[in-house]
Amino acid sequence: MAKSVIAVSVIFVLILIGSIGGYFYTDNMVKSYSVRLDKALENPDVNLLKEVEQNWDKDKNSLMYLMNHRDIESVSTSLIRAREEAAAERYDMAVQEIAVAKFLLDELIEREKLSPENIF
Amino acid sequence: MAISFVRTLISYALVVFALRIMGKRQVGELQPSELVVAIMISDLATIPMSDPALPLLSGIVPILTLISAEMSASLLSLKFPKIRKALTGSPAVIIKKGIICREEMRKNRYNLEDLAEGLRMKDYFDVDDVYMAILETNGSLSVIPKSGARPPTSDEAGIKGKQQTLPHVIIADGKKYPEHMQEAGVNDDWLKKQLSDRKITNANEVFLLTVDGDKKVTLQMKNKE
Repeated sequence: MAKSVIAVSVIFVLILIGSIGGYFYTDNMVKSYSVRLDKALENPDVNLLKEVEQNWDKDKNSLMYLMNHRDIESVSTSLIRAREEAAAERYDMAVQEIAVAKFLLDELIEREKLSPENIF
Repeated sequence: MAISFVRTLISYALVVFALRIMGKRQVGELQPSELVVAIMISDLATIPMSDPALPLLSGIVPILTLISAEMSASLLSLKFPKIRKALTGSPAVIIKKGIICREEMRKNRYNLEDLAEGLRMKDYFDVDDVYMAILETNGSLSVIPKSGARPPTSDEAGIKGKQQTLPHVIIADGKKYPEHMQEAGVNDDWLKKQLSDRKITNANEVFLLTVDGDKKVTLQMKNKE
Protein backbone atom coordinates (compact mmCIF):
# COMPACT_ATOMS: atom_id res chain seq x y z
CA MET A 1 0.00 0.00 0.00
CA ALA A 2 2.69 2.49 1.08
CA LYS A 3 4.80 1.48 -1.93
CA SER A 4 1.89 2.07 -4.31
CA VAL A 5 1.18 5.48 -2.79
CA ILE A 6 4.84 6.44 -3.20
CA ALA A 7 4.91 5.12 -6.79
CA VAL A 8 1.75 7.03 -7.76
CA SER A 9 2.99 10.21 -6.10
CA VAL A 10 6.38 9.95 -7.83
CA ILE A 11 4.77 9.39 -11.25
CA PHE A 12 2.36 12.31 -10.70
CA VAL A 13 5.13 14.65 -9.55
CA LEU A 14 7.38 13.63 -12.45
CA ILE A 15 4.59 14.20 -14.98
CA LEU A 16 3.76 17.56 -13.40
CA ILE A 17 7.37 18.75 -13.27
CA GLY A 18 8.02 17.42 -16.79
CA SER A 19 4.89 19.06 -18.22
CA ILE A 20 5.41 22.44 -16.52
CA GLY A 21 9.16 22.42 -17.22
CA GLY A 22 8.54 21.38 -20.82
CA TYR A 23 5.96 24.10 -21.28
CA PHE A 24 8.23 26.88 -19.97
CA TYR A 25 11.19 25.55 -21.95
CA THR A 26 9.30 25.46 -25.27
CA ASP A 27 7.55 28.76 -24.52
CA ASN A 28 10.81 30.61 -23.84
CA MET A 29 12.60 29.03 -26.75
CA VAL A 30 9.87 29.66 -29.32
CA LYS A 31 9.18 33.19 -28.03
CA SER A 32 12.86 34.11 -28.39
CA TYR A 33 12.70 33.13 -32.07
CA SER A 34 9.47 35.05 -32.51
CA VAL A 35 11.16 38.19 -31.17
CA ARG A 36 14.13 37.68 -33.49
CA LEU A 37 11.79 37.34 -36.45
CA ASP A 38 10.14 40.64 -35.42
CA LYS A 39 13.51 42.27 -35.96
CA ALA A 40 13.92 40.43 -39.25
CA LEU A 41 10.54 41.75 -40.37
CA GLU A 42 11.80 45.32 -39.92
CA ASN A 43 15.12 44.53 -41.58
CA PRO A 44 15.10 41.34 -43.74
CA ASP A 45 18.88 41.04 -43.75
CA VAL A 46 20.27 37.82 -45.20
CA ASN A 47 22.95 37.47 -42.49
CA LEU A 48 20.41 37.90 -39.72
CA LEU A 49 18.14 35.29 -41.34
CA LYS A 50 21.08 32.90 -41.79
CA GLU A 51 21.95 33.23 -38.11
CA VAL A 52 18.33 32.64 -37.04
CA GLU A 53 18.11 29.60 -39.31
CA GLN A 54 21.37 28.08 -38.04
CA ASN A 55 20.35 28.55 -34.40
CA TRP A 56 16.89 27.15 -35.12
CA ASP A 57 18.43 24.05 -36.71
CA LYS A 58 20.32 23.37 -33.47
CA ASP A 59 17.49 24.19 -31.07
CA LYS A 60 14.73 22.41 -32.96
CA ASN A 61 16.21 19.02 -31.99
CA SER A 62 15.29 19.55 -28.36
CA LEU A 63 11.85 20.89 -29.31
CA MET A 64 11.18 17.72 -31.31
CA TYR A 65 10.82 15.77 -28.04
CA LEU A 66 7.92 17.96 -27.01
CA MET A 67 6.21 19.24 -30.15
CA ASN A 68 4.80 17.98 -33.41
CA HIS A 69 7.72 17.38 -35.77
CA ARG A 70 5.72 18.53 -38.80
CA ASP A 71 5.02 21.96 -37.24
CA ILE A 72 8.70 22.41 -36.43
CA GLU A 73 9.71 21.44 -39.97
CA SER A 74 7.21 23.96 -41.36
CA VAL A 75 9.03 26.73 -39.46
CA SER A 76 12.37 25.45 -40.83
CA THR A 77 10.99 25.49 -44.39
CA SER A 78 9.74 29.07 -44.01
CA LEU A 79 13.08 30.22 -42.61
CA ILE A 80 14.95 28.66 -45.56
CA ARG A 81 12.56 30.31 -48.03
CA ALA A 82 12.94 33.70 -46.29
CA ARG A 83 16.73 33.43 -46.35
CA GLU A 84 16.76 32.49 -50.05
CA GLU A 85 14.38 35.34 -50.95
CA ALA A 86 16.56 37.80 -49.01
CA ALA A 87 19.70 36.41 -50.70
CA ALA A 88 18.05 37.06 -54.09
CA GLU A 89 17.18 40.57 -52.83
CA ARG A 90 13.45 39.91 -53.18
CA TYR A 91 12.80 41.58 -49.85
CA ASP A 92 9.00 41.78 -50.15
CA MET A 93 8.87 37.99 -50.60
CA ALA A 94 11.35 37.53 -47.77
CA VAL A 95 9.14 39.61 -45.47
CA GLN A 96 6.16 37.45 -46.45
CA GLU A 97 8.04 34.26 -45.54
CA ILE A 98 9.30 35.76 -42.27
CA ALA A 99 5.70 36.66 -41.41
CA VAL A 100 4.64 33.07 -42.14
CA ALA A 101 7.47 31.69 -39.95
CA LYS A 102 6.51 34.06 -37.14
CA PHE A 103 2.87 33.05 -37.44
CA LEU A 104 3.84 29.37 -37.23
CA LEU A 105 5.99 30.04 -34.15
CA ASP A 106 3.20 32.00 -32.45
CA GLU A 107 0.84 29.12 -33.26
CA LEU A 108 3.27 26.68 -31.60
CA ILE A 109 3.19 28.81 -28.43
CA GLU A 110 -0.59 29.16 -28.56
CA ARG A 111 -1.11 25.41 -28.99
CA GLU A 112 0.95 24.58 -25.91
CA LYS A 113 -0.92 26.99 -23.61
CA LEU A 114 -3.03 25.44 -20.87
CA SER A 115 -6.18 27.28 -21.96
CA PRO A 116 -9.82 26.16 -22.15
CA GLU A 117 -9.73 26.44 -25.96
CA ASN A 118 -6.81 24.02 -26.14
CA ILE A 119 -8.26 21.63 -23.58
CA PHE A 120 -11.70 21.30 -25.12
CA MET B 1 11.43 2.19 -40.43
CA ALA B 2 14.03 1.96 -37.67
CA ILE B 3 12.20 4.75 -35.85
CA SER B 4 8.91 2.84 -35.98
CA PHE B 5 10.72 -0.28 -34.74
CA VAL B 6 12.27 1.46 -31.72
CA ARG B 7 9.08 3.40 -30.96
CA THR B 8 7.04 0.20 -31.10
CA LEU B 9 9.41 -1.54 -28.68
CA ILE B 10 9.24 1.38 -26.24
CA SER B 11 5.44 1.57 -26.50
CA TYR B 12 5.17 -2.20 -26.05
CA ALA B 13 7.30 -2.09 -22.89
CA LEU B 14 5.23 0.79 -21.55
CA VAL B 15 1.88 -0.90 -22.27
CA VAL B 16 3.04 -4.17 -20.69
CA PHE B 17 4.26 -2.21 -17.65
CA ALA B 18 0.95 -0.35 -17.48
CA LEU B 19 -1.18 -3.48 -17.69
CA ARG B 20 1.09 -5.28 -15.23
CA ILE B 21 0.65 -2.46 -12.74
CA MET B 22 -3.11 -2.67 -13.13
CA GLY B 23 -3.09 -6.13 -11.59
CA LYS B 24 -3.52 -9.75 -12.44
CA ARG B 25 -7.15 -9.82 -13.43
CA GLN B 26 -8.17 -11.44 -16.67
CA VAL B 27 -9.66 -9.18 -19.33
CA GLY B 28 -13.14 -10.60 -18.71
CA GLU B 29 -12.86 -9.81 -15.03
CA LEU B 30 -11.90 -6.16 -15.38
CA GLN B 31 -13.86 -3.58 -13.46
CA PRO B 32 -15.50 -0.92 -15.67
CA SER B 33 -12.82 1.70 -14.90
CA GLU B 34 -10.02 -0.81 -15.54
CA LEU B 35 -11.53 -1.82 -18.88
CA VAL B 36 -11.75 1.83 -19.94
CA VAL B 37 -8.13 2.43 -18.92
CA ALA B 38 -6.93 -0.73 -20.73
CA ILE B 39 -8.66 0.33 -23.96
CA MET B 40 -7.38 3.90 -23.68
CA ILE B 41 -3.82 2.79 -22.98
CA SER B 42 -3.71 0.47 -25.98
CA ASP B 43 -5.15 3.20 -28.19
CA LEU B 44 -2.78 5.89 -26.91
CA ALA B 45 0.24 3.68 -27.51
CA THR B 46 -0.60 3.23 -31.19
CA ILE B 47 -0.87 6.96 -32.01
CA PRO B 48 2.83 7.95 -31.80
CA MET B 49 3.72 4.48 -33.12
CA SER B 50 1.89 5.05 -36.39
CA ASP B 51 2.69 8.76 -36.78
CA PRO B 52 6.43 9.48 -36.56
CA ALA B 53 5.69 13.24 -36.65
CA LEU B 54 4.27 13.06 -33.14
CA PRO B 55 6.69 13.05 -30.23
CA LEU B 56 6.72 9.73 -28.38
CA LEU B 57 6.11 11.71 -25.21
CA SER B 58 2.63 12.56 -26.52
CA GLY B 59 1.80 8.89 -25.95
CA ILE B 60 3.96 8.25 -22.88
CA VAL B 61 2.64 11.14 -20.76
CA PRO B 62 -1.08 10.24 -21.16
CA ILE B 63 -0.33 6.56 -20.50
CA LEU B 64 1.60 7.37 -17.31
CA THR B 65 -1.17 9.77 -16.28
CA LEU B 66 -3.78 7.05 -16.80
CA ILE B 67 -1.74 4.54 -14.79
CA SER B 68 -1.36 7.03 -11.93
CA ALA B 69 -5.06 7.94 -12.04
CA GLU B 70 -6.07 4.27 -12.07
CA MET B 71 -3.71 3.44 -9.22
CA SER B 72 -4.95 6.43 -7.22
CA ALA B 73 -8.54 5.40 -7.82
CA SER B 74 -7.88 1.83 -6.69
CA LEU B 75 -5.98 3.00 -3.62
CA LEU B 76 -8.83 5.35 -2.72
CA SER B 77 -11.30 2.50 -3.31
CA LEU B 78 -9.44 0.41 -0.76
CA LYS B 79 -9.74 3.15 1.85
CA PHE B 80 -13.18 4.53 1.10
CA PRO B 81 -16.11 2.19 0.31
CA LYS B 82 -18.17 5.08 -1.11
CA ILE B 83 -15.52 5.75 -3.75
CA ARG B 84 -15.34 2.02 -4.48
CA LYS B 85 -19.10 1.96 -4.98
CA ALA B 86 -18.99 5.00 -7.25
CA LEU B 87 -16.18 3.56 -9.37
CA THR B 88 -17.17 -0.09 -9.61
CA GLY B 89 -20.84 -0.12 -8.61
CA SER B 90 -22.24 -2.79 -6.33
CA PRO B 91 -23.29 -6.40 -6.98
CA ALA B 92 -26.95 -6.94 -7.90
CA VAL B 93 -29.04 -9.87 -6.68
CA ILE B 94 -30.75 -11.17 -9.82
CA ILE B 95 -32.31 -14.28 -8.27
CA LYS B 96 -33.29 -14.11 -4.63
CA LYS B 97 -34.55 -17.22 -2.84
CA GLY B 98 -35.34 -18.79 -6.19
CA ILE B 99 -37.30 -15.79 -7.51
CA ILE B 100 -36.05 -13.69 -10.40
CA CYS B 101 -35.88 -9.99 -9.44
CA ARG B 102 -37.19 -8.18 -12.50
CA GLU B 103 -36.48 -4.77 -11.02
CA GLU B 104 -32.78 -5.57 -10.50
CA MET B 105 -32.59 -7.00 -14.02
CA ARG B 106 -34.15 -3.84 -15.44
CA LYS B 107 -31.77 -1.62 -13.44
CA ASN B 108 -28.77 -3.52 -14.80
CA ARG B 109 -30.21 -3.85 -18.31
CA TYR B 110 -29.84 -7.61 -17.92
CA ASN B 111 -32.28 -9.69 -19.92
CA LEU B 112 -33.45 -13.29 -19.53
CA GLU B 113 -31.11 -14.51 -22.28
CA ASP B 114 -28.17 -13.00 -20.39
CA LEU B 115 -29.35 -14.69 -17.21
CA ALA B 116 -29.81 -18.07 -18.91
CA GLU B 117 -26.35 -17.76 -20.49
CA GLY B 118 -24.75 -16.77 -17.19
CA LEU B 119 -26.36 -19.74 -15.45
CA ARG B 120 -25.32 -22.14 -18.22
CA MET B 121 -21.74 -20.90 -17.88
CA LYS B 122 -21.98 -21.95 -14.23
CA ASP B 123 -23.38 -25.35 -15.25
CA TYR B 124 -26.96 -24.65 -14.16
CA PHE B 125 -29.35 -25.27 -17.02
CA ASP B 126 -32.57 -24.82 -15.07
CA VAL B 127 -33.42 -21.57 -13.30
CA ASP B 128 -35.38 -23.67 -10.81
CA ASP B 129 -32.07 -25.10 -9.49
CA VAL B 130 -30.86 -21.67 -8.44
CA TYR B 131 -31.41 -20.25 -4.96
CA MET B 132 -29.46 -17.04 -5.47
CA ALA B 133 -27.71 -15.46 -8.45
CA ILE B 134 -25.62 -12.35 -8.02
CA LEU B 135 -24.46 -10.17 -10.88
CA GLU B 136 -20.97 -9.08 -9.85
CA THR B 137 -19.50 -5.67 -10.66
CA ASN B 138 -17.23 -7.18 -13.33
CA GLY B 139 -20.25 -8.66 -15.15
CA SER B 140 -19.83 -12.26 -14.04
CA LEU B 141 -22.62 -14.21 -12.37
CA SER B 142 -22.18 -15.91 -8.98
CA VAL B 143 -24.63 -18.70 -8.25
CA ILE B 144 -25.79 -20.39 -5.06
CA PRO B 145 -27.77 -23.49 -6.05
CA LYS B 146 -30.73 -24.90 -4.15
CA SER B 147 -29.64 -27.60 -1.70
CA GLY B 148 -31.15 -30.34 -3.84
CA ALA B 149 -29.39 -29.18 -6.97
CA ARG B 150 -25.81 -29.50 -5.80
CA PRO B 151 -23.64 -32.46 -4.84
CA PRO B 152 -23.25 -32.93 -1.07
CA THR B 153 -20.05 -31.73 0.53
CA SER B 154 -17.80 -34.23 2.32
CA ASP B 155 -18.96 -32.77 5.65
CA GLU B 156 -22.60 -33.36 4.72
CA ALA B 157 -21.75 -36.88 3.58
CA GLY B 158 -19.92 -37.50 6.85
CA ILE B 159 -16.62 -38.20 5.13
CA LYS B 160 -13.50 -36.80 6.72
CA GLY B 161 -11.65 -35.46 3.70
CA LYS B 162 -7.93 -35.01 3.53
CA GLN B 163 -6.63 -31.47 2.91
CA GLN B 164 -5.18 -31.23 -0.55
CA THR B 165 -1.83 -29.48 -0.83
CA LEU B 166 -0.09 -27.79 -3.70
CA PRO B 167 2.59 -29.91 -5.39
CA HIS B 168 5.99 -28.18 -5.53
CA VAL B 169 8.02 -28.29 -8.73
CA ILE B 170 11.47 -29.48 -7.69
CA ILE B 171 12.96 -30.01 -11.18
CA ALA B 172 11.56 -28.51 -14.38
CA ASP B 173 13.27 -29.17 -17.71
CA GLY B 174 16.45 -30.30 -15.93
CA LYS B 175 16.63 -27.18 -13.75
CA LYS B 176 16.53 -27.56 -9.98
CA TYR B 177 14.53 -25.11 -7.86
CA PRO B 178 16.12 -24.84 -4.37
CA GLU B 179 13.46 -22.34 -3.18
CA HIS B 180 10.70 -24.84 -4.00
CA MET B 181 12.67 -27.58 -2.20
CA GLN B 182 12.78 -25.38 0.86
CA GLU B 183 9.02 -24.73 0.65
CA ALA B 184 8.34 -28.48 0.27
CA GLY B 185 10.62 -29.28 3.24
CA VAL B 186 13.02 -31.48 1.28
CA ASN B 187 16.78 -31.17 0.79
CA ASP B 188 19.50 -32.19 -1.66
CA ASP B 189 20.04 -35.53 0.08
CA TRP B 190 16.36 -36.36 -0.31
CA LEU B 191 16.50 -35.42 -3.99
CA LYS B 192 19.66 -37.50 -4.56
CA LYS B 193 17.96 -40.48 -2.93
CA GLN B 194 14.84 -40.06 -5.08
CA LEU B 195 16.94 -39.93 -8.24
CA SER B 196 19.20 -42.83 -7.27
CA ASP B 197 16.14 -44.95 -6.30
CA ARG B 198 14.97 -44.49 -9.87
CA LYS B 199 18.44 -45.10 -11.30
CA ILE B 200 18.78 -41.52 -12.54
CA THR B 201 22.35 -40.29 -12.52
CA ASN B 202 21.86 -36.73 -13.69
CA ALA B 203 19.09 -34.28 -12.76
CA ASN B 204 19.39 -32.81 -16.26
CA GLU B 205 17.66 -35.91 -17.63
CA VAL B 206 14.52 -35.09 -15.63
CA PHE B 207 11.76 -33.19 -17.41
CA LEU B 208 9.51 -32.76 -14.37
CA LEU B 209 9.73 -33.76 -10.75
CA THR B 210 7.12 -32.62 -8.27
CA VAL B 211 6.44 -33.45 -4.64
CA ASP B 212 3.20 -32.87 -2.74
CA GLY B 213 2.46 -32.41 0.95
CA ASP B 214 2.55 -36.19 1.54
CA LYS B 215 5.99 -36.33 -0.11
CA LYS B 216 4.46 -38.19 -3.04
CA VAL B 217 6.79 -37.80 -6.01
CA THR B 218 5.68 -37.40 -9.62
CA LEU B 219 8.44 -37.77 -12.18
CA GLN B 220 8.78 -37.66 -15.94
CA MET B 221 12.01 -38.05 -17.85
CA LYS B 222 12.98 -35.88 -20.82
CA ASN B 223 13.32 -38.84 -23.19
CA LYS B 224 9.84 -40.15 -22.32
CA GLU B 225 7.20 -38.86 -24.72
